[in-house]
Amino acid sequence: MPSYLDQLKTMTVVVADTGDFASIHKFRPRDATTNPSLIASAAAMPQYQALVAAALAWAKEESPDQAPAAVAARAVDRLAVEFGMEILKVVPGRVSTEVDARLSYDTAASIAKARDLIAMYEAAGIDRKRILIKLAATWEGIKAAEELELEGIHCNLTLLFGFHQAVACAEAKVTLISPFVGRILDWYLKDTGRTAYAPAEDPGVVSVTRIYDYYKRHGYATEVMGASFRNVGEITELAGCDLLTIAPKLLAELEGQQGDLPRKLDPAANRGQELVHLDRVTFERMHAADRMANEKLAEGIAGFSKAITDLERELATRLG
Amino acid sequence: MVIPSGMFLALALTDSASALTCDEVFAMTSTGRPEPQIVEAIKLGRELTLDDVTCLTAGGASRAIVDAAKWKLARSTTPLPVAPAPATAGSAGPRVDVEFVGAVFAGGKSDGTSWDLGGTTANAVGAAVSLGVAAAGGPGLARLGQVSAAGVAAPDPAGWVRLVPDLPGDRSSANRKLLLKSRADTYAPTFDAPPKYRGWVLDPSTTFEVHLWDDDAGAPDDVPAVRIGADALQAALASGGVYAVPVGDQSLGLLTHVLVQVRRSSLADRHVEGAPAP
Repeated sequence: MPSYLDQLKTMTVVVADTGDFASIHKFRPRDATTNPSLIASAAAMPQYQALVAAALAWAKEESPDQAPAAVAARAVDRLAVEFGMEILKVVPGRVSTEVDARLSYDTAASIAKARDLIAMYEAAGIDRKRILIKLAATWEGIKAAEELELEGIHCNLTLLFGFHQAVACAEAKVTLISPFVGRILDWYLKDTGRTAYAPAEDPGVVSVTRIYDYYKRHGYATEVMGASFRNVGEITELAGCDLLTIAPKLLAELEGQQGDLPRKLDPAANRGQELVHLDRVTFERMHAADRMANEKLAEGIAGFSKAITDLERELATRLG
Repeated sequence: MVIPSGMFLALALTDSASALTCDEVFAMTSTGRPEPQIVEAIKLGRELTLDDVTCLTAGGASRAIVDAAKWKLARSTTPLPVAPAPATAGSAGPRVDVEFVGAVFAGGKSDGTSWDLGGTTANAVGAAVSLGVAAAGGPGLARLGQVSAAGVAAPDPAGWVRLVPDLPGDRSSANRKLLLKSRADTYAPTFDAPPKYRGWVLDPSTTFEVHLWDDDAGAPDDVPAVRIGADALQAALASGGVYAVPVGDQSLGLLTHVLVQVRRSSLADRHVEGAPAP
């Protein structure tokens, strides 16, 4: 009997959610995703110090007269690309590289940063088709993605908690969204005082299922990649989703489990709700009405922003 | 909680979906959304209500957010919440004195730009506030003092008021030039010599027309003329003070209110007072 992981790979593109490309190599995912927290964690590992040194050297050469803080900021961008390039040596598909979360409410700055990241990849001979630029699914981030997609820069809209964010992303014709599962569960556990949900009733699972069904019913090409899992049950309940990005620890659990893994999400199910259109103000109203999405998006941006700031500070100290 | 499908559809498919409420604005501020984005969202939406503006002010929203809400309110075409007493068709109404006190301009032109370059809003706010204090009986007037738009230059109002139709042979009733206390840079013009229609029988056909514009030298910005009918005059009479007649729906939102005072008249014959048109 094949493992859960092997069965899952027959119906869903499995993506490694890590900056540790040794783990990526082990589980042979098609794609890989990173985020500022993962990059910061990986940058602290002894085995990746050569990448950190390369990023610092690149930044110093590019900005020879800048203060250490400015050089460190550039080095963080470069480090994300360095990790991305290493990951692309291991995976056959795409890697996601995140735009500075501190720009999440600035469309123009997000576009500029995305172009900068793509330019770094292309300068290294990597086709932009293999890169997904990650942006927070704020209205401003979605509008940035809409413009970047027109330039052939494919985007992965992350920190997606609410259905309204998914609707806006589809209308913007972004390549991929990363609806978060585990973080939604976290919020509900805290808010309700419950200690657990059955996998099929898990609010994160319900959210991703709703988005998936809506996209398929209305023929949107935007791919759905469930993210941020807390347990294997959440993953198996979303078997059949376009993609699932999974941390190495849960990949290992899936690899170790055997038994029949039924498909739960089916593009032919035709279960999605009616088509809706969202303008800017309606999006903001929906976001304000969705307390969970409102809080978790803000928390996510703050967390990623802090990770970047901390990493910049760490790199600045290395510059002396 | 996750927004239920029904609620989502209701918000997404109705006209009211694009009007931010006070609670929604505070939901945005509570999670650290940058102020410029919130202001932009407010301005992109439909009009806010007076209650929303009051709620934002009382809730401690930032100056920029409250100003954006007031700007939106000033452009509102939604009538203020008054309940006018309608005139009964065919019946002879009371004899009244009608005085046109002033008007309130919106915070900007219909394309979102300011009326004029330069200038300040301080006199506009001050004028509106002083009107509210002087006419406490007028519904909504206490709130008209809030009408302002920081950073937006005020218009230079001019215009006239007339009875519709003009009375044959009664030259003094036609095309009365408004003489403003402050001729330039004000959102809330008042009149040095307010047109007064004294001893008028208020019947269902009684109608006045007010035509104002931003009197820039060489390039005036016109505002559609608005009409004040018997219902509004009855409401003004019932209010007992200066009454703010909402006219945004007639003026593309450029002129939000005309201020009028209607009292019962002791005169047996009607006549018109005030500065005649030049």
